Amino acid sequence: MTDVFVRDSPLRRSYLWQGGHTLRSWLLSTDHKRIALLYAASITLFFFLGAVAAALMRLTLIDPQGRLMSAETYNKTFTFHGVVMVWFFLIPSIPATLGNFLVPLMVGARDLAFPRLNLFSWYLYMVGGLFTIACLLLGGVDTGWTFYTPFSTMFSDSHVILAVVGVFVVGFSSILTGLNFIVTIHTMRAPGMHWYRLPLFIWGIYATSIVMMLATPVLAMTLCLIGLERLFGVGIFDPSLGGDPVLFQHFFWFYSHPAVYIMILPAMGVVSELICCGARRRIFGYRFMTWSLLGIAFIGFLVWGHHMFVAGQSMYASMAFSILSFIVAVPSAIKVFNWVSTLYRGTIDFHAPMLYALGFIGLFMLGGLTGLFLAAVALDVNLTDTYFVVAHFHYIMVGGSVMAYLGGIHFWWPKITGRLYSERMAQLAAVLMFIGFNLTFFPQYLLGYMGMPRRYHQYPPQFHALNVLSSIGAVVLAISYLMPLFYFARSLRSGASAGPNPWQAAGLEWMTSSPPPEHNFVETPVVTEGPYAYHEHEEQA
Amino acid sequence: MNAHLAEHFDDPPQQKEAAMLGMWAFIATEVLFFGVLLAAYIVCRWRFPAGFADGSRHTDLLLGSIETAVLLASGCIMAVGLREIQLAKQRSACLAIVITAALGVAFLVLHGMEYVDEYHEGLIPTVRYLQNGTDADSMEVFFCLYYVITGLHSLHVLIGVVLLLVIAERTRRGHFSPHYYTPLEIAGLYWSLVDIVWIFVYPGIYLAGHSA
Amino acid sequence: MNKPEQGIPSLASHLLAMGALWLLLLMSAATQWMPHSGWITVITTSIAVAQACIVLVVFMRLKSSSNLLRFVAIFSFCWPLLLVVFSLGDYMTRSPLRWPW
Repeated sequence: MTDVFVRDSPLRRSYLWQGGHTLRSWLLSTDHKRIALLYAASITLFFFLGAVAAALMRLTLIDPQGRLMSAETYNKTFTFHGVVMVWFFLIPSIPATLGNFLVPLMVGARDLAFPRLNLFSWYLYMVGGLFTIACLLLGGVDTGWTFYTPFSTMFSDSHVILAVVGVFVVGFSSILTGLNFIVTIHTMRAPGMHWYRLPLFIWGIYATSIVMMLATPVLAMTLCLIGLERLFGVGIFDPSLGGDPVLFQHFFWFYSHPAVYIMILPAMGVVSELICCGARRRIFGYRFMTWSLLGIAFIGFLVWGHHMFVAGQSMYASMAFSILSFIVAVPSAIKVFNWVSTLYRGTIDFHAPMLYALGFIGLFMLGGLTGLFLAAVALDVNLTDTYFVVAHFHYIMVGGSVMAYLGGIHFWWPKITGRLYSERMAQLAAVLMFIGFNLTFFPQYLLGYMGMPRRYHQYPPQFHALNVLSSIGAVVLAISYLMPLFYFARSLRSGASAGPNPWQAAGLEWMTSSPPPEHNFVETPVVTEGPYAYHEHEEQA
Repeated sequence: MNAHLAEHFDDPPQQKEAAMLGMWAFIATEVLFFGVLLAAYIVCRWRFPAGFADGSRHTDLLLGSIETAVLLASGCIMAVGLREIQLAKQRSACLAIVITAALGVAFLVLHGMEYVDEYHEGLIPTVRYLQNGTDADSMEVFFCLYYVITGLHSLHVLIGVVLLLVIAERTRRGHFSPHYYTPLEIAGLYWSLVDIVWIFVYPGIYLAGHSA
Repeated sequence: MNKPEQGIPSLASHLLAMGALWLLLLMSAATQWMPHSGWITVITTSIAVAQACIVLVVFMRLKSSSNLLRFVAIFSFCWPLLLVVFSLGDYMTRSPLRWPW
């Protein structure tokens, strides 16, 4: 195997070879591309840890009695699933892997602005991850990923502190990543790359980075306060000392609602790239797309109270938050319409990344529209804390972010590794994922609408059939998640050489070799046109 | 001149711009960090006006005001230090930074004296809280916030002092010149941030009571 | 660096700023001898804002910074107000809950 690598000359001129090939050369590398791969490996690990927890839950729910695990274990399982998937997979997923790899390439820079800070944030991520794993090994935490007070501060006797410290630390990792991206995008663009020539992926990462920086400190401080309440009896959220648990929810959702946009905005950026290349068209309404990204990022900060309609929030606050939640749907809808308009009269190639992107549009639309149900106060009073919420959330996060993440990985895999993968296997996995996903989560909409509450391991027998259907879907979904591991591994061993631009795609990252050299470009590129110049090239040809 | 230029930047101005923007973005996150506590303070004060006024009356207005004056002066001296290095006066710049750090230590000592007094008066929730009366419970909320806010701020001062001493040592060794002084400027920004946080803590903690 | 003084704020501006900060501090502390009213909070908060502006403009050199940095600075100090306004708004409009006793 080593012989193949040695003889493979594009590889020898790439970052995979030039920076050295000891473990040390990877763990101490400040090359954004290597750090991206460190992130990719670690978030994949956490993804499968979280997926095991999800599988255990679906397995328990096959049986209405939930005999597989006790109520307490079930609580710890969904908490672990939530904590790991939100903070250790979804939030770093696209920004820390694809973003890290592509931001300097796409803006035409040699690295991120602060390479050592970038490596440091990966170590922070790992330290946070170790705390979370330690928490799991010592017996887990049962508060749900939301750590609601007063349960988390007064009643829970599980390892809340360890979990909170883990999330606190990983929060700083995401703050520093966001800071790095913002500075890079502001100060390190190549000559000619002005703001309206940036690819939408960069705009998505930029909007996400802003949200990371303006939301995550609130989470960090709030988790600090939880720790202080548990350790020293500080009474800011503790009702017996005069504090108010709802204040915790205000602070928590001030972060955690925008956190949803941290997860979806870069996904929107990825999908914009994929759609344009797959349809061979310039994006429809580029400026609307950029401003709707920023609009979502901003308005997303004004809607957090829609998580608290039944928490004792004032009626007037609920009304305001409800209206603002409807407004955030407008820029989201603009994006969907623009993607669809881009497809119109395009020369659509149904390669695997495109299939993921098309799946994203459909699932994101379903998830977004059901979000409007939940934003309406009267409906939410009925639907809150049911499986309807679970389904809505997973349509956005799994159907949206994960689909886009995988689509992006497939799209840029040849650039990252310099090799091609089995296109037919990838297409099969994409289709299977779409089917499996819907099979898993659509029944949960129905269950929630029928009134099945979330976070219970037992349920009345009338919900049995739909739960079994959902668990079957989870099996299909699991297969489609495992498939890429195999064909990507095979591509690494024996994939054909990709060449610099296997998709005939536009964008600076495709102008350098695959895999790129250590400093990305042999000479700094000069940009003379906007992104997605597919149409013009074809007309000229 | 190019000894300080990292290889991924094109030229020193670009590097400087990146460093400054990065620092200001970091300041934004720090402001928000304290902003949460400010929000908690405002909400709790809205709910318990009497308890907060009482609690504020138990704090030491004179010491608090002196601390504020000390911190404000230190911010000025740090800014002067930056000016000195721009004028290529390394010795006086180094001196200014050391004085700034010393004032930071003075602040910490003064605040430690307050903590000791409060311990004797029994004002520390869960550790030693000896207050009785109608507002004792809501006053406890005030003191919880007081300790979280001032504790976190003191931690920032401590970090700042260490940072300043490192910068002072680097200045003494001649690492900085009118051509390159970014770390010094960034340390100054951090120190001013600590200043500004205290500017808002002061009226909230010491001036919420009335008619001294 | 032919003209070393160019673009460097003067020593006088720093000392003036410190004098103003101390004066404002004295004014702020003096409110504690005023008769009790809600205005004290308004006055002390306004003074704090003024002091913060002086530090930002003079010591943190926003006076001579780029527009981007100015925007980031102003924005970052206004941003926590969003959290304050919305959460306080909730508390101010809640229907009062009766105490359990």
